[in-house]
Order: sequence, then structure tokens, then C-alpha cells
Amino acid sequence: MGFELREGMFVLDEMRNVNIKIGRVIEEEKEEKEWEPAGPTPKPHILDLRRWDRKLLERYEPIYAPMQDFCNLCTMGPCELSQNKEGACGIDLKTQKARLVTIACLIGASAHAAHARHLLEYALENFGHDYPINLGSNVNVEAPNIRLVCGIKPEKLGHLEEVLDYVEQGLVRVLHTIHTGQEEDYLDFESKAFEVGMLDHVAMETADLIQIAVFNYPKGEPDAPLIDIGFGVLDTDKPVLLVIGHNILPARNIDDYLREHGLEDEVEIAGLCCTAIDTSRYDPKAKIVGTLSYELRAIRSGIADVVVTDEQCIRADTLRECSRLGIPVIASSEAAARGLPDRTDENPDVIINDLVSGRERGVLIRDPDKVGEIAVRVAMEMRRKKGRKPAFMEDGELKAEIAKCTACMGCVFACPHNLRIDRAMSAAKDGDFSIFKELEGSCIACGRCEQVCPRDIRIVDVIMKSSYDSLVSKTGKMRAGRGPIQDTEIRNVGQPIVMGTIPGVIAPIGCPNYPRSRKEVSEIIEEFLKRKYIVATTGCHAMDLGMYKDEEGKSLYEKYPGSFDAGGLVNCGSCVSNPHISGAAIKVANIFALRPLRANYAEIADYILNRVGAVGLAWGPYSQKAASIATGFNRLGIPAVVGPHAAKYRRALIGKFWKKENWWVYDIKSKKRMNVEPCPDALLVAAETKEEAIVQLARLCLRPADTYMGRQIKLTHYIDLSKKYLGCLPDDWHLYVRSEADLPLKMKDELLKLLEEEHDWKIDWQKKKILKGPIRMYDSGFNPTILEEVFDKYSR
Amino acid sequence: MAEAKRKAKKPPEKLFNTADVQASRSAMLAKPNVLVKMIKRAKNPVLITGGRLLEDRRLVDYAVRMHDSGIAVIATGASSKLFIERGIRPDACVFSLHYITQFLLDESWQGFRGKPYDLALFLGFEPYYLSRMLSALKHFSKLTTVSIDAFYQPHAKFSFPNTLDLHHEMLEEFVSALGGGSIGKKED
Amino acid sequence: MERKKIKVPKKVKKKASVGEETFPFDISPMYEGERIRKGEMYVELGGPKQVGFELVVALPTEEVEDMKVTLVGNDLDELEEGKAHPYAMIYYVAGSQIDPDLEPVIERRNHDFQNFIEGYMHLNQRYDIWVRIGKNAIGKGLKSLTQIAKATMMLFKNEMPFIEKIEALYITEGKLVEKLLKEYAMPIYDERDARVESLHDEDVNEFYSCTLCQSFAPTNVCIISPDRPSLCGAISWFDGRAAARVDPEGPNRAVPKGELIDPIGGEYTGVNEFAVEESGGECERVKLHSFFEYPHTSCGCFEVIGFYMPEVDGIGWVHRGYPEPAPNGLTFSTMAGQTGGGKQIVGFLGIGVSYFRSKKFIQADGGWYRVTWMPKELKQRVERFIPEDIVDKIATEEDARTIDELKEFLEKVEHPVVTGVVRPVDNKRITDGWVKEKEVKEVKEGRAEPATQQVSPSSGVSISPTQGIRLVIKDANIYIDKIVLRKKKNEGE
Repeated sequence: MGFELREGMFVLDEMRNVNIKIGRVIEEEKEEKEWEPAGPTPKPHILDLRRWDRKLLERYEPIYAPMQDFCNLCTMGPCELSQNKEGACGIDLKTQKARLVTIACLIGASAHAAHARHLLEYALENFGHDYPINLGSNVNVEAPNIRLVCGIKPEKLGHLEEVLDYVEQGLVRVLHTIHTGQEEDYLDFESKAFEVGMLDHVAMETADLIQIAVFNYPKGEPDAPLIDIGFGVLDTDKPVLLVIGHNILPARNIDDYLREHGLEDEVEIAGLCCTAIDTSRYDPKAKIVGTLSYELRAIRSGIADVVVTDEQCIRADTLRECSRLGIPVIASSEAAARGLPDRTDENPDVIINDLVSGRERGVLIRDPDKVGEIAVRVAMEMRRKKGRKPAFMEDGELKAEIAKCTACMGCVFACPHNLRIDRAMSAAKDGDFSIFKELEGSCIACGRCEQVCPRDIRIVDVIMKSSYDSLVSKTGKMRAGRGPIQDTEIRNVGQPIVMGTIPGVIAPIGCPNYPRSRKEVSEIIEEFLKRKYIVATTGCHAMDLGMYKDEEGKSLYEKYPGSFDAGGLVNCGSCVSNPHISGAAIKVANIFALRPLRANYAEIADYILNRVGAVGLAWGPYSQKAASIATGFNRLGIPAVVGPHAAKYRRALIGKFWKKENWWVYDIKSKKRMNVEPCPDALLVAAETKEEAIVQLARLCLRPADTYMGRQIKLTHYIDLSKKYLGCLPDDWHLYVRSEADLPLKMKDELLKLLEEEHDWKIDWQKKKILKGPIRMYDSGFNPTILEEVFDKYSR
Repeated sequence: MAEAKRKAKKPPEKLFNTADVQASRSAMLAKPNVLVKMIKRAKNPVLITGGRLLEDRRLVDYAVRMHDSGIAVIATGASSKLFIERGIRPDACVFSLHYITQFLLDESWQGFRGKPYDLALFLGFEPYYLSRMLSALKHFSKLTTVSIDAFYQPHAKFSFPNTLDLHHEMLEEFVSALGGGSIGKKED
Repeated sequence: MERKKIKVPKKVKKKASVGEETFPFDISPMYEGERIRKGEMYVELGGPKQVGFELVVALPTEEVEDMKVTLVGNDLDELEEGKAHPYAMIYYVAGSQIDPDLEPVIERRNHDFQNFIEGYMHLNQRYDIWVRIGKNAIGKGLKSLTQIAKATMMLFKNEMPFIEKIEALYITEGKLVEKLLKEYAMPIYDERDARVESLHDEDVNEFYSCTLCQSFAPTNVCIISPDRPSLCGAISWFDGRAAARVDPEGPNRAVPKGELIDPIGGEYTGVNEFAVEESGGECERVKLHSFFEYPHTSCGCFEVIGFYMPEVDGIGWVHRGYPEPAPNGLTFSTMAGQTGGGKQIVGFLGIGVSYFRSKKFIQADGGWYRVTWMPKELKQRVERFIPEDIVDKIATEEDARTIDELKEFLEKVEHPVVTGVVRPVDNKRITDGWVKEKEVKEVKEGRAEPATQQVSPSSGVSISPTQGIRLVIKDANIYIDKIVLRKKKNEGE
């Protein structure tokens, strides 16, 4: 009996009526050894975690705040859906909004998935399939999200292909449900959005693992180097190379080129957005100009001699703006080709000549390893050729521009923040530039004001020029993104969290579309650092946290240590480093409770929701990526407080504390279903002012499984902060008291009295004990879950 | 010379964000005396205040006078501090407008003091934020919403026009008309 | 040492105050760790330049006047600014559940509570106390040390309701502080230390449990006995006792020993019953001082992990924060991932550093005589607890980094594991030493793999093309998920 081994279907001789189908044929080394028994949901697709999503959505009911009340996606429309009417295809307003939420998440997740795929292709080609993924001896669980979702333990680069294949499939599978005539139920759309958010964290983790491994970024060191950040850190006498975007590859090539040719001290390389963060992880000498809201400022200032763009969050008028000022642009990504000619394979000397002479405004170079030489040489030649012009405009021009203003207030109505530019102009006409200076702190430099000005005043330039001194003097230090939280750091904080010396974890992440001054993020976060919360940050927030210095000239990163510990400020890195934060929550379940991670999403998310007191703060989210990242955190049971612009994402997840039937758990220890205090009572909710945000953050750190010491410290801060910023005790403090041991020590008597007088609780005054009143009494063995299968698994 | 330049101008009749357009009804301009009549007819009107009160204390004055004429107050955006300093305890202090909107959307909600609100006035918010919340209330509830804020709010049922620097004058007119005569019913 | 109320000499300046008051300073845990530098300080009390001590003394209830504070010596307005001064804080406590054993537990909280006071910094304990009061506190309205005393007493009573009455005596008069330290405080401290040293498992009727970590590790129960403190390092038997007094139904409870089952391993019927109940059945038996048999469980916060190396039949220890792999090739994090979660795992044991000083340190398995390796940093930290005749035979990373190097070292120094370990507690020989033959002797339960790991049995049919087997299969569907191509090696399959 002989047979050929092929994939596919074939029929064997000597066997009758037998069909044999072979699945995969692989070589032995790739065979997986059992590193842990697999959980119930390896590589889940849309319906696999639907039950978990439903549990979340029942408690945290979606609230829709429509931007538009019509849909114009198909030719039967446009359809008006107001008051929840149905459109021509039968979809109603609520479902249409949920559909948009899913679309936004898809866009965001795709950005990261494509970025990861791009990095993986490059890494596999240049470093090989067998390149090891190793994050150092203190990080045992190197890929918590990948392990949890895919059930894979990636040890080598090659293993990540399977991960991205799954992500990309998943995204397409959700994308097609957006088509007209698909989903009818808005909760099912939300479930799909959750699915996409989860995939996003997997894609981001893949991307960051790759870059940390092959480019030797910091691997969880608490004392990662401090990076110079801010407008004023650039030495404008040298040629300045500005890199904007999210993909490290071109920037790395530039950095390498500089070093290989001994030019690090001759040329300034500075970045905007995540590229900046990642470049500084690669090379601590690289500088960071700032966040997304600094892009137009940086370009208009004219300090750049060449601008290199890659992908995501880059202004769509970059080429126009740069060309106006004679700054050559090198685009390096298919995602943003800018209409530029693709000259990847041509002779660099010719390209450089064309750019420097002005024959070409810009070029597209698709190969990142060719960008370095071209960008550096162009920058140097441009610097030699052109003189230095004053930033933004000449001194005399400023007065002339301001004089043009007729106070029509068109700009006020065009500005996303409705800033009173008219008032600033009017004061400036009298020589008072103070309002402009104040505006500058809030201005995101979007340029919409200029688009509507009937006198074509260069308003952004005016704002920047009049605040030039403070703009330039804002320099700071940011700690380089260190990537993962070490497993030992997590073990280290277990006892303090249980014993109440660390009240919680706050994670400021995301974009800089803040409601007011950029400084507010630092103010909010410092309030928590002083109170010994742990702070972990990424992205534009991580940059802005480093931008402000105190009276002693120290930025927050210099004032507070970089360890994942009480009062520590940890910068995990760029936007793709967010999974280190979600990963830390996942690791808690494995490190302390030895809950298996492999393919065990729902159980771990349920664990996190009930126990891990972590809250995200996205004070200025603007992008679709932010929507997707937040949704991914939410599915894991981690809530987030967002800034007011985030109301425009259309959907929030806010529970109703007064609906007692929604707040229940199964207690594995007593084997009972019981009512529980409503914490967290929202997964995604907006706050309007920094004072409100601070109180909400403290509030959303409470969890049902808190020990009495943990609850006491959390309530102490919640009540303290509420008194400080709201002027009173918070409305709902009594809901979170389970026993007298939960009460803040210095207020114990006062609070016991209030419980008795205002809420009718029964107090034993002799022993100072609470006899009756709490939603439930405290029990240290309380072991909550909202999943029946987890309950069945662990109760004997 | 500076004083003359500071005289307030009537702002243009634009949307605070030209692109915040919806197909459905846009708010009717609210004349103060009409508003007063509506409020007096309502069973449990509530004034919901936002973070702008922290920047403009005059708004607090008007809000206090509205409270004194019998309108309940829900303070969001940390504006509660300003009321408490004046001896007023709002119905709620800690919940943001986002939470309040979610609660108002639920017909079964009995308000913070056991009585559902049937008319909501809004004062002191970032215009783009308030706009979203009013949109939610417009499409998914039957609540009567009134914006007495500085920008015209298209998605409220009734709204002041754009007032900006003339906001205080408009509020003065409204609050004066309100004062005198009982409004709504406080808790029995 | 008799506990008595100190008679304040008549001719000394003093003032007294009773009852509640409102404080001009803020009190919050966020001021913990607040450092007051020399330039910011108003006065320093105690510290390296002056004598100082803190002491809690239990007295009968009729001798204590509740919420009264007496200050002997200069108050804040009379102390010279910018200088250091003597300082004593003595608290008298009374309550039906208070005995001298609780004094140190209460006393240790003075440090925590005083640090909650804005503008007041308290470092160290006992006679090492170092206090600074900041100018900011004075600026806010702090006028008298009596206010500090009252705030501290309020916090004491709020946290520990078994303190029915509390009275304070603060002294800034140097000679009196010195006298009391020598004649009263030091003897009490010495007495307490001797008590801790001399108190062993057999001397008490009950142990104490801690289930605080169940908020993260739902089945973990720590049993805290005089010879075995908590593995997180935070709770001693005395602390457990105090907490159980505050809330007998709380996370720290009394665990009656019951019958003694195994005196060497430390197993008791009462403890076993308690463990079964509180761990939800996860843990049925516990031997407090055994590594291999029914070891004590851990959550994830242990400071040190012990691991068994079958190749040398010995135990090694690694502390959290040690970055290199141990001789078995595994790092702390990797090994730590094998245990914890409240599960009883044989082969790895998480402990707190303070267990090293216990007289019963893993005595069932030979204690220190079974220990073969620990990092130098850890060894130095606990060196004084290691018996002299074994201390130099325990290898560090300077002596060995791999199993082979370790074997070599142990043989060279003639470590007991080589020839056979004799357990000091009963002089019983518990291991056979290294056997020279190929056959490796293993301790019965000492397999270095988690007890809960399930190995899925491999099943499958291998189809080989020849070998003279005829298969006639009818009407069957065979679905093969994957076929593994194995490269041909020297041996056959």
C-alpha cells in the first residue's frame, strides 16, 4: 500500500467508501507543545464571545448621542432617521449609530493591523522567522493579549504570522456586516465593535512586540532614559528633519544613517506623534517636538528643512503647507502617497537634486531603508541653501495681519473649541497679546479658522507668533517608552493594593483634542501621583505629561519615578503600546489567581471587571483608533473616562446605579447570587471639566472585591477629592460602604452619623459597628463573577 | 478707547459648528416670557449646569436666582461647589452630563428626589458637548429641553439664540421674568 | 516589666487638654512619604541628634483618662525654630481585649497615623524615631503638640475599636525623656523582643488566618503562627491577633489549633478544618513547615520562591528582583508563574523573607541543611539566621550558576545533601544522599511540575505504509487535523 501525501482530498486504494481529508502538513519544529491547557475560546470570532458582551451591555447600557440623524450610505437614501425612525432598508437610528461605532472601531483596528503587518513583513525579511521574542527575564508572560485571545505563545517572529492572519480575517468578517441589509440588532453591532476592539489590542501587541524585539527598545526598565521634548528643544541652527506619523521604519533608517555617517550632532531629528515616541525608544538622543496638535505649528514655523511622513494622524494638507514654505516632503507609505511621484527605485542623487532645486515638491519612497540617505542629504543641502526666516512670520507682518480683522466672528464659529479669537484680535490691536497667549495653550492648530476668514488672515500663524516666547519655552522631559510592565512589578504591588496603600491605577492615554489647556492632563494626573496611585501612559498623553515643568524646572517624569508602583509614572510607549496596559490587567489574573490565560477571554475579563481597580483617562480622543482602543479596554472590563469631545463618538456605555436589578454577581464562595454595589458604574463616560474628571477617576477605581483596607483608601480619596472639587460629599458614597472598616478613618464618626440620619442605617454606637443598611456586608472571601460557567468551574 | 471697543456685538446667526446639521427639527428660538410660562406649567423643571459656571461667576448668580424661584438644580462639571458656597444643595453633584442624559433617557427614572423631571434647562456647557446630549434627548426621549446657554443649540426643543457677549443680558431678562410667582412644586 | 502610669515630676512645665477638637491641618494617607527637608522644617524632634522614643503601654481602664493629652516641657511656640529637640510619645491604652502582646501592634501604627498628618513627618520606630514638623503646618495653624496627639489618638480609636480608652503623654523635656527611655521604655522593648524570640507554635492555643488576598487570589488562605509569619511580610502572629480582636468575623480570624497531627511538619486538625472551609475546598491539609508535603499555599505576592533541584536533591531560594536565572535555568518570574493562586503546588514554595528567621524553617525537610543555593544578596540579608556549620556550604551565584557547577561545589564543601541530610529537629536521616548509579533517586512527591497540570494523552493512529498489516475499512470518514513530518534520524521512529 503506497500513497502520496498531499493536502486536500484523495481516495485510498484498498479502502472502500472512505474519504480522507488532510488539514495541515507542517515540519516537526513548528508543532506546538502543550504549554497550558487551552481554554474555551481560541481565536474567537464574532459570535464566540457574544454572551460575555451581552452581560456587559445589559449592565452598561449603550447611550447614543447622534451626530447626524440621517444615513446616506446607499442609493435608496439619504434617509432621515430622527426619533428613531427606520430608513429605506429598515435600519433604525439606534442601530445605525451602533453601525457607525463599529465602522469607527474597524478603521482604528485596521490602522494598527496594517501597521503590524507592515512591521512584520519588514522584520521577517530582515531578521528572519526564527528571531526570538524575548522581553527580558522579568517579563514571563510576554504577550498577554495574544495568549488570551489567540491561545498562542509567540516565541519567534514567525509565530506572529498566524496571529495577524487571524486579526485580518476577523476584521473583514466584521466589516462585511456593515453592508446594507445586515445586522438588525444594535446590541449585536456593539458586540461586533467589542470584537474589533479586542482584535485591535492583539494587533497592537503584535506590532509592539516586533519593534521591541528587533529594534532593541527598552524592555520594561523603570529607569528608561529621559527624552527632550518640546518646541524649544531644537537647535534651529542645524538642519532639522521632521518625521511625522506612526511607523518607526523610515525614522529608524534616518537615525541609522546619521549615526553611520557621524552626523548625530550635526543634524536634528525630531518627531511628531507616535513616530516620535518610537524613535526615542530606538535612540534616546532623538527629540520630540510634540503631539498631533503640534503638526501645523511645527510646519508653519518653518524650522524644518525636510518633512518625512509615514502613516496615520498626519495632516492631509502637509504637502500643501510644506510646499508653500518651500519645504520638501518625503512620503513613505502607501497609506498617504500625497499624489507624489513614486521614485523608490531611482538614483538617490537625482531625487535629492530634484527636491533641493524645487523641481519636485516631494517624492514617494516606499522602501523605508532608502529614506534615510535621501532625507538627511536633502535636509543638509536645504539648510545650506536657504537662510533662516523668523518662525511663522516677520515681526512687522504680525501687526498687519491683526489689522485686517473686522471682528466678524467667523473664526469663533469655525473653531472646534469655539475659542474667542475675536476677543484676542481685538485686544491685540491695542497691543495686548495676553488672550492670544492663553488661546495658544488650548489651540489644536487645526486651521479651520483660516478656512472661513473673509480677510484670509493667517490666524494660526498669528496665534503662534504672538505666543512665540511661551511656545518655545515649553520644553520638558518625557521618559522613553519602556514597553511592558514587568511581572515582578505586578507581584510587587499585590500586597500594597490589598493592604490599601495603592488606591488604584490610572491610565492617561490617547490623543490631544483636549477641551481646554493642554496643561490639564498634567494637573489631573499629578493629583493622583501625589495620592500614590500608579499611572501608566501612552501616546500623545504621554508626551503632554512631560511638557510642563514645575517651579523647580522638573517635569512629572523627573518628579516621579518610572516604576510601576505607588506614585510611579510609567510611559509604556506609543499608541501600539496600549496592550501593555491591558496586558498588565490580564497578567494580574494569572499572577495572583493562577487563572489560565490561554484562549480564556471571558473568564479573565470577568476577573478584571470584578477586581482590578484600573481606569483609563482619554482626555482628548479624536481618532478612530482611540475609539477602537477604548472599546478593546471595555471588553476586558476596564472603564475609561473621556473628555467632552468624545461625546462625538456617538456611543457611551453608562450603567444606571439606581436600577438595582442590574447590579448583581454570583459569589463563588457562598454559592449565592447577590446584589452588589455599582462599581464601576460605567465603562465609557465623558466628563466636562478636569475637576469632574478627577472625581470620576477616583470613583471608577472601586471594585466589588476590594478588601476593607482597599475600599477604605479608595473611599478616602473619592470623598476627599469630591469635597475638594465638588464642594461636598459625593452623592453616592454610602452605596460603597459595606462595613465600618470601609470608612475613612478621620471621618468615621461623622460618616456613621450621616448613615444613620440620612440613610436610615442601624448603628451600634458602643462598638461603632454597622448593623444594617449596606447593599451587602463585607466578606474577605467574596469571590464574584457574573458568568455562570466561571461559577460552575470554581464552585465545588 | 478700549472701553468703546469692548462693547458687545451681536454674534452672527450661525451654528456654533456649521457641520452639526441634522435633518430633523431645529430648536425654536425661546422668548423669555414664553419660557417662563412653560416653566410655570411644568411639574418638576430642573436646571442642569455645567463647567462654564466655574469660569463665569455671573452665570452662578443667575442659576441661584432660578433655583430660588423653585427650579431644581443638577450641577455637573464640578459646578456644584459654586452652589454649595451659596448654601444650595443641588439634587446631584457627582454625575456628569453624560450620566444625567442617560438617566433622563430612561422613562422609568424617578429623578434624584423621587420625582421625575419633565422639563430640563441647560446652562454653562461646552457647546459641542451639550449639542450631543440634546441630540440624544431629541431622538430617544420626549423630554422638553431648553438651552439657555450662550450658543444656539439646534437640537434642543427651545433655545436662546447665539448671545455670546450678550448672554448675561438675555439671562437677566429671563430670570427677572421668572422671579415672582411660584414655579413648579418643590417637594411636599 | 510592670506597666504603670508615669508620674510626672511636680516642678516641670506641663499642660493638659482633654476632649475633641478640630484640627487646622489635613489628615490623609496621601501625606505618607511626605519628606520635610531641613529648609522647610520648623523643628526636628528626636532624630540622629536628640533622644526620642515612642511607647504604647496597656493599663487597667480606671487608670486611663480617655482623649487626654499631657505635654511635659516646651510646646511648639517655645521650641527653638530650626533646631532638634528631645521627644517622647507615650500612649496609655485600655480595653477589655487589650493585653501587653497587643502593645507593639498598636505602637507600630503611630508611625503610619502620624504620617497622615499634613506637615508632619515620622520616620522609623521605637527609640529611632525621627520627626520633623514643617513650616507649612505651622502656617496652617498648628499651635501645639497636643493637637498632634489628639489627632493620632482619634485615628487609633477609629481603626482599633478595641481601644476603649486612650491617653497620651508627650514629653519634650530632655532629662525626663532620657530617664524614661532608660528605665521604662528599653526594658519593655527588650521584654517584647524576648517574647517574640521565645514564642513558638507550641506555646499558643490558636493561630490566625489571613484571607485578604482572596480579593485577587480567591482560594488563598495564609495561616500565621508564631513560627510562620505571612508571606507578604505584612502580618505577624501578633498583628493577626490584634486584627482578629477588631473584627472576629473579618479577614483575620482566630484558628484554633485542634489536635496536633504532625509536630515536625506542623499539621493540626483545627488548621486543616479551617483551610478546607476558607479555601473553598482547594486545600485540605496544610503542613506549616514542610516544603514537599501539603505545603502552605501562596497568592502571587511572595517575596522569595523556593525550588527543588532533583539533580542535587536540594532546595534553592530566589528573591523577587533577582534578574538572573537560578542554577535550574529558570528565572524568578518563570518559577513564580508555576505557583501562587492559592494552589498547593509541590516543588515550588513562595515565602516571605521573615520565614528565614523562624526556628522551624522547613524543619520537616531538614531546614537549612537542605538548602543548597541562594543569591548572595539574599544570603547576606538572612546570614545571621543560618547555622554556622552550614552557612558556608550554601552556594551563591559566585559559587555556581549551573547545575553542574552547583554539584561540583556541593561535593567540594561536603554539603549534607551529598551524603544524606540529617534533620536537626529529631536527628532523623531523611535523604539518602547522592547515589552514584544511573538511577536517580527522587523524593516521592518532589516532581518539579505543577500538580494541577493535565497532560492530554496522545492518541492517534499511525499509518505506516508497509509492515504487513492489512486494513479493510468500510464506510468511514477520516479527518486528519495535521500530519507531522518527522525528519529521519539515526534511530527509527
